[in-house]
Amino acid sequence: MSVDRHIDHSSPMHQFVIGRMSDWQLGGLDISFSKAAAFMFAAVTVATLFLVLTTSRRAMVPGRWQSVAELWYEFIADMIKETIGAEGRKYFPFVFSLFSFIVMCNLFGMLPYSYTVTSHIAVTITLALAVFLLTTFIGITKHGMNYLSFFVPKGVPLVMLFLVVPIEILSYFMRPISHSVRLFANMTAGHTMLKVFGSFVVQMGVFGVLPFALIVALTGLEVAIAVLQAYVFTILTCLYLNDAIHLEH
Amino acid sequence: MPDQQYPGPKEKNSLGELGDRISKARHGAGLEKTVEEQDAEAAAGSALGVAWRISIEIVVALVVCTVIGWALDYWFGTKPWLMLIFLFLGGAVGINNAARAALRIDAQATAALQGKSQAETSNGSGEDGEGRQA
Repeated sequence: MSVDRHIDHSSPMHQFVIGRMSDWQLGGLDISFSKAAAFMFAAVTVATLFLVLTTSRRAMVPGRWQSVAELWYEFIADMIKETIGAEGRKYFPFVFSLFSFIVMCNLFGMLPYSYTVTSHIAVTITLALAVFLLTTFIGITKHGMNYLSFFVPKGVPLVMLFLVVPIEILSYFMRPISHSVRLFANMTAGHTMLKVFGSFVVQMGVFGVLPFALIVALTGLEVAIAVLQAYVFTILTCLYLNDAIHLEH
Repeated sequence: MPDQQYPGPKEKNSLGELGDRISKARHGAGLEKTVEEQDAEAAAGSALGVAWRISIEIVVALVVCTVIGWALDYWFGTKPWLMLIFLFLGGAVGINNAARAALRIDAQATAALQGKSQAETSNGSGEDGEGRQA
């Protein structure tokens, strides 16, 4: 791993530096294997292995591990049923993979010496743009030009439409940004805060016990937020899918 | 009829009382949670989710719209004007998104509440409360 030259080690932002683990070039493109890539691979591998191994026995009466996998599955299946309805079933694989990837990346970030992939806007905006493009594509293929009526709310006077339609269009294109910033800002802020309080523990000597106690509590909160933000990202995906399928706000 | 529910009145009643006392004691010792407490815990968790969903919506719309206005100003050389217009437009977009999200959550909560009270009233007549949810 190359040591970064710009941010010094004690900085709370140092944990977000994308360290290179190899130095590969392809036609002028930097395709080096990075820490971020390694943790994405780890998240996907662990999620896949966990689900495959726990469901391999397919027992009629589930054991402990199989119950976890079934809870995981039913959580997403219920969410889709509640927010989209029966038409949402074919998008289950997409939503399930999205949730599993994000929750695994977030939880991997909670391990000491690890790296939080979702603390980078490049990662979260890629996921959000994938959702945005998919929902727009579904909306247009399902409703054709009718999809544009999405930007014209019902029961608005003609004069007001000149003001309302631009606002609606801006609202629509604001979606992937707020979708991605929410996850990225939460993860970055939480991990920065942990690191800041961590440095207090060292600097304050004996009195470091106080920030240390706070860190214990904050770590618990961060684990909860890691799961909660994955949930929020997923449920918003479901809501956007619902808008595109049923053409409603 | 109460007589049919308790065929052996004395023994059954004392067993029922014992069950009540056990569950009361368990609850008193914090081993068991009432349905209301579980509901309250779930509501607190989802309230945090709702807070995150709505608050970010306003901030992002305002900031991004202002930056768009600033960039357009830079592009066209109309220094403060487009940024000011887009600042207010961003405010409108943010409120629009937040209000829409809030209305949707409100509608869901109302529907859930109605479904619950209906299930409670229909419980007395012994009907199932499951077909309604679909």
